[in-house]
Amino acid sequence: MILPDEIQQVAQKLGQGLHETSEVTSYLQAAQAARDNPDATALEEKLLILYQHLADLERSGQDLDQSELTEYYQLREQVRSHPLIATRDEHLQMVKLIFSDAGQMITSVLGVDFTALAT
Amino acid sequence: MVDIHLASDLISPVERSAENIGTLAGQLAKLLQQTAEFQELMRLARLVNLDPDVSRLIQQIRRRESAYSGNENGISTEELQKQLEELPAYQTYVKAEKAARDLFQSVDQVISTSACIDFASNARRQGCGCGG
Repeated sequence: MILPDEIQQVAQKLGQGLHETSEVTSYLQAAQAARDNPDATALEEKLLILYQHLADLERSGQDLDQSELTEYYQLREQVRSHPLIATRDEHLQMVKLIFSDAGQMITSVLGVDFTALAT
Repeated sequence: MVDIHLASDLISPVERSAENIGTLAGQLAKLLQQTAEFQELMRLARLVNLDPDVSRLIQQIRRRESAYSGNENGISTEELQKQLEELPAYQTYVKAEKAARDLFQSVDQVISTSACIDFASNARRQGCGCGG
């Protein structure tokens, strides 16, 4: 959809303003550090593959193997406790707080949930 | 020589940034309010809320969703949903909602591209999971 110029400009400025906050800057740095770390990326990739495998099994109505489930939870814990991933996720929580405030401001003026309709 | 501090000098960069974001978000919302898509959504939302058939069916569906009560009068939830979707007032409202969604999603895309991180999905308030 082509947006009216004024909306396009203000939306860009808002995005830029958010980008310049320390929360977003720190998050982007932390996300890059996690991406650049082979251990962190391998762990996340392994978790995703296992998750997709379990989800496929469930969708097809098959019983989930207990040992695979245990492996999944252990792996998830390993991912969560990886220092770079944990740091990235902590920064993301801070980003969500400021994004939530901005989204709430839009929603309160409009009277409809902007973020729900936009996702 | 006396230093003169403007009020803006006393505000930290973080506060200024937050203030600026709040101002821009408010400005954006006001612009969105003026769009044809949003005006139409509001107009049709008012109309659909006044429609007795729509209200009745939505209430019946909500009752089913909040607590299983079997097939009330032998009508399933799917059948109630189908009846709702066949009502012209509801169909028109859904179309307007889709147009507003398209607009909001385009706006979200612009914000997200400039911010270098998805905006709306990270701005959604997360519930406590308690159903309250």
